Amino acid sequence: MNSTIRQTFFFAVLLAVPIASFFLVFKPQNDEIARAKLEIDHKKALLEKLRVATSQTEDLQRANQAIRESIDSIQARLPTGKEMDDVLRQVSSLAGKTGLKVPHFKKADKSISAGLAMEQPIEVEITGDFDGFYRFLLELEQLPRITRIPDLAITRSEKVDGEMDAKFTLSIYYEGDASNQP
Amino acid sequence: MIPSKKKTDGFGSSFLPKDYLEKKVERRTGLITLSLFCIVMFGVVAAFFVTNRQWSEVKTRQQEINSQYTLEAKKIEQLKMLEAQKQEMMEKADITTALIEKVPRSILMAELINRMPDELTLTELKLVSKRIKEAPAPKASGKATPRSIAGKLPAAPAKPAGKAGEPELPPEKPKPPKMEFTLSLVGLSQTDALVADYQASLQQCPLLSQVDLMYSGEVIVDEVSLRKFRIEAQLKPAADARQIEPLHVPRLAARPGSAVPTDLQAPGDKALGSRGIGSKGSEPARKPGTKHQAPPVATVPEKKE
Repeated sequence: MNSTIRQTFFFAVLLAVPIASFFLVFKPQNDEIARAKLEIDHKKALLEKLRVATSQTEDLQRANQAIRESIDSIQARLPTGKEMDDVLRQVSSLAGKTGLKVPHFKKADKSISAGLAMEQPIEVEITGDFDGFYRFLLELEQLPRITRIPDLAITRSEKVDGEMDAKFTLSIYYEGDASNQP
Repeated sequence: MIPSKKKTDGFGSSFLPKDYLEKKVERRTGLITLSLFCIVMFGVVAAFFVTNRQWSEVKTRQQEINSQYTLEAKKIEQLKMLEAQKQEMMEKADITTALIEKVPRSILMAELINRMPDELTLTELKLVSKRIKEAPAPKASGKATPRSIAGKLPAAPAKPAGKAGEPELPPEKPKPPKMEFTLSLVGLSQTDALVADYQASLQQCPLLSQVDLMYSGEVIVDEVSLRKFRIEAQLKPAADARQIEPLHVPRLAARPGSAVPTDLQAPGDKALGSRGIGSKGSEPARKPGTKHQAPPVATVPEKKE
């Protein structure tokens, strides 16, 4: 082979080696590196955000604990059964203590579902003076059991001057299977 | 003549043999090309090592970040779980706290009585509740599918394998009982101005809304002309007695013989007073000559915590 051609070929090969290695090896690898760096930067930024977000975990745990305690404290006031005898005893006792009479105390036929608990309405009629009734209400609200008065009718007594008749629905709540109720 | 011929051979005027010179040139060219090849290869290999090192560094960093990311992702999962738990607990709390009366009736009574003018009395009070039933969520059934204009029904969605072929709906969550309360007050007054004052005062009450005077008419009670009135109002759905400052009304000294036992008094409450329904001391008008008894001191209960 002519030496000039040989040398030209050799120089061509010499040039081709770095050029080929650049396009076949270095460029793809550099692209990979650049992509990986981008991903790292993106994940770093995300990590910062995640760290900020996860720093609230403890606060959230505390808040959940507080809510759970509040719920438990309310649910602890729900008896497992209606315990009508206790209600009657308490209402009569409070009425006697506040100078009122309870001529009528009747349990409604059906219990009503009230969220996680059951509601048993009781029709109560009370007679006496207004001061006594007000004190009766105050005492009733202090009972450990959860009670509500959704309906209330107070009228001036026609029979005795200075007295009133109060008819109200006393709703008591108890733990019960709400799914079995209409 | 000969030297000029030698010049044209390209080896100058060397006396060395032509073969020797040619080999020498070839050897020198070979060395140069070999050196160049070595330099180029060294450059390529060095560049490869540098790049490879960079790549392995980046890989290591990426793995570190990935492991941190996995850790944080676990924490995020935990956070999401906690948030879901909080949401669930809040719903449960809503349902549970709905059982507690937001407006204790004693506070309501105190507000109604303490806002009442002195020369006015109530003869009837009614609080009626109405349970609000929320409409159940519409069931996903074939009837609800829209009919196409061409009259051709769209393809029925694939039903999940439920019992008796019905789609399985998630169990309905218990809902807090919701109620609305209507208050009706009937009373007697000496003048319409007092009735208007009472209505205006009730309108200021943070527990009530839609306070309306339904009527006011003349009635004769024990030969005394009085105004009989009826006021209706609604209990605000969002009313909460813990968030209001109850009206405190100082009243006269206690009526003889009507002292309230201290163990029955609410915190900060001496007694509501004898101006409620049927109270003797609250009669708006008395016959001439009847002895007026001073009502006891009355303040409404303190704001309940």
